Amino acid sequence: MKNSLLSLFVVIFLFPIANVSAQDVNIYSYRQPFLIDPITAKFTEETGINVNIIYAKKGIAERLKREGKYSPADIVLTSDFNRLIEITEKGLTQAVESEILIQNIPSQYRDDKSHWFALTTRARVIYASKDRIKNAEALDYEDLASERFKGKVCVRSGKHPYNISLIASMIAHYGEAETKAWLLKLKENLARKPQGNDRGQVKAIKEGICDVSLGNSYYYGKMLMDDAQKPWADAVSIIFPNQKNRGAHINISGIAMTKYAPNKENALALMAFLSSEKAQGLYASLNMEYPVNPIVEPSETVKSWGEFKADSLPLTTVVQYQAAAYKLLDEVKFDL
Amino acid sequence: MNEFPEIALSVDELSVFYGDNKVLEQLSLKVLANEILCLLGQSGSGKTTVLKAVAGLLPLQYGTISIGEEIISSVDTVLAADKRGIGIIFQDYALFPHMTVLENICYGIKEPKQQAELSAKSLLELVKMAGYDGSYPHELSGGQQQRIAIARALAIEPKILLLDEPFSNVDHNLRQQLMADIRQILKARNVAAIFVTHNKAEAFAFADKLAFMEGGKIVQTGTAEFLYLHPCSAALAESMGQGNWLDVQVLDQRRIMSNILGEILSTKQHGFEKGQKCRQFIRFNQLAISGDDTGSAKVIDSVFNGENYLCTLTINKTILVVNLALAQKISVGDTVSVTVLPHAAILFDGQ
Amino acid sequence: MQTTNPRAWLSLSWIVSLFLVVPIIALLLQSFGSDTDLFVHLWNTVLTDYVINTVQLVFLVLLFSTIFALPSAWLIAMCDFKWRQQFQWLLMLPLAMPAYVIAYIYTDLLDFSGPVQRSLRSVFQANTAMGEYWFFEIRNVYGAALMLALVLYPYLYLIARTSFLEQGASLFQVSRTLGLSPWQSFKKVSLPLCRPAIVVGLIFIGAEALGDFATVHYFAVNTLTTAVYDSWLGHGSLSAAAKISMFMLLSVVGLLAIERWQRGRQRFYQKSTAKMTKFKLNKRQSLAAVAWCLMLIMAGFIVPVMILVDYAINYFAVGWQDVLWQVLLQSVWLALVAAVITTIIAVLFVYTTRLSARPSAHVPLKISMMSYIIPSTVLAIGVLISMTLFETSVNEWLVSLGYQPPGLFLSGTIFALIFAFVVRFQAVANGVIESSFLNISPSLDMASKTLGKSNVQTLFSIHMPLMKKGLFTAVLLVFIECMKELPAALLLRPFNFDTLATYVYQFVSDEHLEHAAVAAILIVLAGLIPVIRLTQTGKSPQ
Repeated sequence: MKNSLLSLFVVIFLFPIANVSAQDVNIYSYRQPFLIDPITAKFTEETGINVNIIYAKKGIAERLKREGKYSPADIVLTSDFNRLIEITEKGLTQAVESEILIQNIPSQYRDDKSHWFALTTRARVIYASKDRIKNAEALDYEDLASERFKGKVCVRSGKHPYNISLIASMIAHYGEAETKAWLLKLKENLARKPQGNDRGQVKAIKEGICDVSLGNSYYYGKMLMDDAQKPWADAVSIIFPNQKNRGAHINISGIAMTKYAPNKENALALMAFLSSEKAQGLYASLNMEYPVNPIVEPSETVKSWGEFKADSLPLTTVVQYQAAAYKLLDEVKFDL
Repeated sequence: MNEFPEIALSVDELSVFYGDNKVLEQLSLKVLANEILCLLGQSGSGKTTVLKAVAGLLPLQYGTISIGEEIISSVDTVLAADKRGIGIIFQDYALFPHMTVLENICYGIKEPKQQAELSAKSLLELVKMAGYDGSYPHELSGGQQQRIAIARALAIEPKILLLDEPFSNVDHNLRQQLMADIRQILKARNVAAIFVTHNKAEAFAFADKLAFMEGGKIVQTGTAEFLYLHPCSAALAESMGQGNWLDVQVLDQRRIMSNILGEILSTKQHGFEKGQKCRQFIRFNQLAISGDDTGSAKVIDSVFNGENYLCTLTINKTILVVNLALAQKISVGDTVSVTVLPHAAILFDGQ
Repeated sequence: MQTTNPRAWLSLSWIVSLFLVVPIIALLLQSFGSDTDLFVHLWNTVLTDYVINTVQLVFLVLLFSTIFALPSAWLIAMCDFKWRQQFQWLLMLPLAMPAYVIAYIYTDLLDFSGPVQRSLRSVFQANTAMGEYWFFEIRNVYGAALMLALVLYPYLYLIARTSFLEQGASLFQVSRTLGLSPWQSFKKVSLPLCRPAIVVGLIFIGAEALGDFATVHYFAVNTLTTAVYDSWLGHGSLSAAAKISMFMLLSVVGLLAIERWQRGRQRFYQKSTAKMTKFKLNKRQSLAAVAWCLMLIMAGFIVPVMILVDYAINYFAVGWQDVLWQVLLQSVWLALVAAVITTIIAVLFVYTTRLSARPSAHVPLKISMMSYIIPSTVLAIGVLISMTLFETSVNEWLVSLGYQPPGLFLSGTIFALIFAFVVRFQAVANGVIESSFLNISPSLDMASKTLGKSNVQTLFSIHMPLMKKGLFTAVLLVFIECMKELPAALLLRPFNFDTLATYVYQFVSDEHLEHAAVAAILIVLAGLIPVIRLTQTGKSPQ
């Protein structure tokens, strides 16, 4: 008994724990490993710099804030604009002066004060059943709340950052009262309680549960690449909303350097790499997003969806209505 | 040797509280070398607490406990139980179930393994359990387990052994032999002992001296015979043997008047004042009955108890119980007269 | 002069337990922040719905768990039927299944497009449209409660079975001879006697249900945990999140107090020493008993595992990654370390209460159990707050002495994870170890001490060997919990570190469990092996 306990402890304390060394860059990532791992592998291959990553969907900002100036993190990757702004506003980031970044990323996709940089953009699109929805090409977000789609709409939780951002943009355009009315009608039109993710809604259309749903544009391409999900995507058409008026809502994924980044130079190298032609090409081909770097084209699949008009309202304006969007969702009990 | 008997253990003014509850209050007792003291008392009287305090398993709030000249417990310092050299025997034997008999006995012996096993084996012989070395406790009977527990306790060569109701789980027919054996071992090995029980038969058979406890105090100490004849409390009187309670009035130092039995004579002066109203305790065997058609008592029940009959009588609506020799022929329904056999009267205050 | 005074044990217990409650204290301090506006907003909008949903969820989970666990426990403890020996441990198996995995599997199975509905449609030639025939909806509070109960009932089963065994059959038989039917006897004698045990089991289950996020989120059931996340992530108010968590903690403590008070002065613990004869069931009864146990095991374990295996085979090419070996090793190592430490601490706490009669000796044991009731993510934030605060001060202090600051030597490392696991699951180990100690007669302690052994020697030579099974059970339960634990692992893990649970969850949250089926099977297997081992030690003599 005693001996086995002892040997157990020997094993415990001899167990190797991964060490973080000097030739490293450390990332806290909201984005998922499927996408980030292949790109960082390329980066390590080219530069010899080790990339250490913590993936989390929640709490990265809190962790960064609590760790303060001793935080090991150099870079934060986010999958949406809200979280990018959140860490910037909490003072967790630093300005990055880099000619390469300025060159690679158009000015509307980076912070005036150089705290954050977008890496990709994507539109919040409407997926509509190919069989059941006629002349879908002219749909607007506003139409989802119309009589026509009663009991025919599917969405994920209203509180998901992608939806929050869309609702915030609605408030920016129409004001709170009108947006609330829209949300209420949208809620009435729902075929089922908000649940699942963007792909799940497309699946629901395929199954006949509903006819239209909201989703990010890249999911269409990703589903086409997946054997099991291709039939779902085949059942719907992708529609860029509001083409005749303000344009489709877009969101970005982005990057920022932490305020106390211990490996500043490596972090800078990584940022430059992620905005470079090579990495941007990977974003385009792996995740079907729109690269921000103007010399990189979207993937063939994405291009086949055609050009679209994007909402020109700056995201920095949209993000100011985020809190209001949250409150509206509670008020109309959107998820309940 | 000293002309005064050597004192093995003394407890002076010991008080123990559990929270606000005073379990022991200013209790004192002495155990002489090679003496077996019995703590007798009803459950809740604090007997076991005395043992725990002596063994060092409880903190105390007042008083001291010493072995010989050395103070082992006081309010400030309590010598750890494992440093006292006091053995203890429990009602549930407390043998370690995961150890063999031999391992149990060797547990406390601080000697190299081989020597320890040798001593353990000789102890096994002493308690008449030779050959059971490899058995596990659950394979033994209650009496056998208690023998092993004794051997284990003796293995540390204690100066004092504490026994907490050690025989109450042992079969009745094995109990006498076990008590005799253990008593002999303790005497032979010159071990003083405190023995706790609520059973007077065990106390009579096992102990040299009795101390009766009531409400956290020792009310009387003495030989079994003395306590039987001259109990100083009603509870003690009842504990030492069954009897009848009578309301009486003192006539003089030797004579007492009972409404039921008339005048009763005491063989010794009882020390109560003339005219005082008292309660008198008369044991079943201190009364005799004889068939008498003019008698005032009537037999309403008779039960055979192995050695004689217990007869229940009524006199003036009062119920009395009397021992009746087997030879005497009296049956239920008979009218009898009652006589009080000569004895030192046991009287208590109040009615 | 040495003393028997257990002061050393008492102080050590207190110090250790203070470390364990530091995260809760951190949260408590955090909850003092002002957030009236947010609460007014929540109160006016969704809070009542969340509270109702939470109460409904917890109640349903407790109800389902009771329905699953009590009859099985009673059958196994009191009756004799075919395969009883095997069922005794088979019924524990669902414990190894993470709730979010089983939730995913059953949704996939019972959805409109799942195999069950598809085959029903083909059998009845029904129209393919949705809503044209009735089929129960699984993605709601009932479904979520059912899923949680299916994997949580073993807690109650384990505790109730032990309690029934200790009652023995004689009380039940006495009740029968007094003219009560078997059912009445069960209701009036067996069940009330087992009440304290049932309450303990239900607390564990209730705490798990209350703190669950992954499953209810997947089923789109908004509970108070949703409010915690909303407040923290959406409204940016950690203090409101902490407040809601504290409120949840307080309400559970309140319920417990009510139960204690209502139970009153009744005494329940009565050990039956008499050997028990089990009821021999007749053929029909036996068949029913077997069917009942089999149904539970099928639903909670065999069916989900078979589906996982099916996924794993179909998606083996994507599902099998070499990195899984390392993830498996890391998870097992992490869970084992946490389980062993938790158990050692539990022994310390319980042994202290055994050595010292003072009421204060019970405090470490009790307060270290609170953190089990707080949602895991919130607790992880508590760990993060307290740990980084400590590290920052140490760094600052070293810098002021002119040394190089060591950085985040705790929170950035695996230590943070182990600490969080220990804090979270201390209650589980405490419960098991406490009841193991109760089974050892106090006179054994006294005998050992009067035979010249110290408290430590007594612990190692008497208690530990006698509690082998209890120690193993405690390690096992905490180990399984750690293998499944998700939110704390997500928030506190070091760089490049995955546990099987985080690995699986990243696929589940992407609705792609198929790709992580191999990893999910590994979680289950890692819990399965010790469960089987436990039942083997249970059979050895003693």
